Amino acid sequence: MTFLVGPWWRANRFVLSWLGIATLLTASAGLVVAGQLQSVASTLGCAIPSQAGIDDAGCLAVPAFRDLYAPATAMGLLLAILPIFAGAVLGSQMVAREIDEGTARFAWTLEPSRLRWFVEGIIRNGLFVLMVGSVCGVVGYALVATENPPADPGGTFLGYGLWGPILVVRGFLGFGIGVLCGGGMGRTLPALLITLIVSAALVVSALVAARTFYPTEIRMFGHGDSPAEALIIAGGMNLAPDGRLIMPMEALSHAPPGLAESDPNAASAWVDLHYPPASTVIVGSNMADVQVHEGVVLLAASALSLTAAALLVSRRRLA
Amino acid sequence: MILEAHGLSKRYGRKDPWALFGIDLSVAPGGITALVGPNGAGKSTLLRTWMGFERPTRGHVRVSGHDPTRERSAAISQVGYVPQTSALYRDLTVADHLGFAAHYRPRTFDRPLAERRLADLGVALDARAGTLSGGQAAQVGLAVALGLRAPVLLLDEPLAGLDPLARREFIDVLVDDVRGTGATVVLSSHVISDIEQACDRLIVLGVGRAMLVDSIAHARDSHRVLTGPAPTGTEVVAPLPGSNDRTLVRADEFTALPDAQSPTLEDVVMGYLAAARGGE
Amino acid sequence: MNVTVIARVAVRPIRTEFTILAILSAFVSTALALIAGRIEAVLVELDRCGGPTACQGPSQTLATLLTFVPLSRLAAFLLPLVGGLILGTSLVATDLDRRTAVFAWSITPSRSRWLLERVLVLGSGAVMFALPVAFAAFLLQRALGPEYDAALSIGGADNAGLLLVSQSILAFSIAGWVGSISGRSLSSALASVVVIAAVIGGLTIGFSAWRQAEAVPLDEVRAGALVVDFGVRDPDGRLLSVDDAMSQAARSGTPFDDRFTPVVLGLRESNYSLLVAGEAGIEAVTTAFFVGLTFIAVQYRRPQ
Repeated sequence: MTFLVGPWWRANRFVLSWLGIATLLTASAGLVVAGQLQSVASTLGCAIPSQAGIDDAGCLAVPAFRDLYAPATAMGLLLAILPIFAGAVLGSQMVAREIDEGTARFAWTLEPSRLRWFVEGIIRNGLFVLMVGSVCGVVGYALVATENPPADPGGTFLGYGLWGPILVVRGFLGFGIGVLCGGGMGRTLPALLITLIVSAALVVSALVAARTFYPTEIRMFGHGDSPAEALIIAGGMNLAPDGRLIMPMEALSHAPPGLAESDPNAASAWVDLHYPPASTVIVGSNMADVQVHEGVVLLAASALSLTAAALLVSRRRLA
Repeated sequence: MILEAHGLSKRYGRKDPWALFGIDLSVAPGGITALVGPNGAGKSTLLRTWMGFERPTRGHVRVSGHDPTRERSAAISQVGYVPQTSALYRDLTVADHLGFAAHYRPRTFDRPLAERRLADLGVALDARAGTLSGGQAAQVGLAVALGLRAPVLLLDEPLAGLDPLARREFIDVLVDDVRGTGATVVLSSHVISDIEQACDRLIVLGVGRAMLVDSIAHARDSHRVLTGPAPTGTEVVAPLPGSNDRTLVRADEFTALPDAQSPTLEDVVMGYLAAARGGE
Repeated sequence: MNVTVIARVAVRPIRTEFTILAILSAFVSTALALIAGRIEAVLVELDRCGGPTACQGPSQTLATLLTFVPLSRLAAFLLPLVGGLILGTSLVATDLDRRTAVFAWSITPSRSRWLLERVLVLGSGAVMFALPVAFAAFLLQRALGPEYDAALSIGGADNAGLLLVSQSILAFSIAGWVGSISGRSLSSALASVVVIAAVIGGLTIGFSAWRQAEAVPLDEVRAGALVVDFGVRDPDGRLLSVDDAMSQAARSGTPFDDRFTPVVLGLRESNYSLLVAGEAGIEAVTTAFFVGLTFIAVQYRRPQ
């Protein structure tokens, strides 16, 4: 099986070049920023555990580090979006473009089995998505790690969804949905629009599902603090003596009458003493499990879409 | 002359071969002229240059005296065009296409005529273009082009892919209209029988050059087919392919040539196509 | 001008894109308006509730509503751009891609007229999709700052109103130009993303510099004004940057706080119309430039 890589490249060179160059540029820029962050962190000796969300702690207290933080965050976001975008673009055009331009008539008459044509297309484009996702996943890891020295994002929820294999999985999700939409609609641009909307909705749903259904724990953290390694489910709450998590306003309502109005600081201290600040979290050691579950759900959605697309392609009538 | 090409040369890129090279030809008003040539001879390029879709690399063309690249509006107003493959909006109905033509050519577009033509051919006005067969799409293209009441019609292989009945209907509609309006038609086609039915003039285009520009009757009268070797001094066009030692030569019926026969139109066309191929 | 014919020819081939954009526009603007309405109502409740226990419900609701605000603002920023991009791509590229330009350009004696009519129809579409989002974003802006007039808030000008619409039209014109050169829908959409990002990014940097240049000392920082920088006044009343003042203080050995008075630099609320009209005007000129380029490209374009 030759997989017709040459003709595939020539027929899609603009799209593949665009995605390839975008990935390489973003990844290179990400690596440069990560290198600068690391250099600032090691030179200025700010490598103390950082407390995300607090600007004046850890490396974030160093202006040179803080200046690099915003571009690093932007790069991280771009790297997280690129795989799913690449998957959506390649998926929505794989079948749709051939139908739209009428070349499917040529391909499907030459190829005795449309399924083989389809599978070869999936492999070629899927490998490209894998490549984009892997590059983004690795560089994303480097960025998240250097943004939060000396923490190791592995085995924690630090920058969850911005690095690692989940980016490849999201790329495959975009690809699967794209192939289905493209095969069904026969037009690339509207298929791409719908693919992006559906894929984004599925990714958000998977995140919400993980937050909703995964076992959580209550951890004691001051307001404004948050554990770098954990995934916050409900933050900024207070722990009641009966073990319930309650809103700060409710905790304040239990303060001695008139205290909140006469001395807000004293009231706040009273609340912290009797109703200590706490949050519901999924602890960092569960990150791998959460990622596997989310990955399996998204991969299943992708596989289902591809199966449905294969059925559509095998039965599709050409205009 | 209503259509002219002077020293027309065209190539698409600096390294590409010439699609047309030094073409000089002109078409007199009225009648149907067949444009014949091997694949890649530049027939579509020539028609698209008259349409103003291609800019000449060298030389120039004229449509009713207008240069289609410099005076596009004046030139295009004189022309109806049917391309090789359907260029219809597949999501729009046939009626939408007629409405489109009426919108942009309000003074000249004869919508009732176009509707009558389509009704005669059984093409529903409310049918979506995407659901039409190749033949029906070609008929819609022709109906729109005829409805424009343009003095010039350029038809780029509109008969390719049509079944014999659809081709016959197409040609009947075309001939009927041209008789009534006196329009000038250039019909690019490979099918000799269609050309014999419809056309009165012939242009044979070699690869990038005009090999023959003549009336069909004169083209036949001014050529002979010889069996066996051509006598010295005879102007040989080319040996006819696939035949038993037959050669097309330039000679009229008064020239003394032993065993010479009058050529069919196919002989003339095949002879010039063979000559074009030999001269590549 | 037969508007029905033009609209059918321009819109029907891209009715799927049109429908998706219409649904997205309706969804985003409704969501923004609902969030704005709820925030307004909750703020009124919070004003009236009196006491932590009674205010617990409304404050919890407000906290939840505020978590949606960044995402809503992002959607309000992106949707007009996406609408402009998609409709701009359909301006010329779709006809070239599907070879219908051959039919259209063989019928119309003037390609400029054909393009002008499409610009009007599809450009109106881009405005139509951006307008409700821009208005709903304005409602959100107003709900978030009930103490000032959102219609005169420079601070919120980027997030709502006219500038969102003018950006949509700008994206439309850029995508139209790129599409007229590329002639392929998907390729031109991808290339347009880069050009739109570069042009809007460049304009944003330019606008930011302009705002900096126009900034004046604000005696009183009122809600709705735009703070762009901080400076100081020396004892003679001269305006200095903080860096310059610090180096002067270091040279003279005088404590900084004794010598210099901090000053807030920005644009007053009353400059709202000038700023919005100026920036929207520059975007309109840029739009006209790209539309002009599209007209030129279409004149010289070879239909496939």
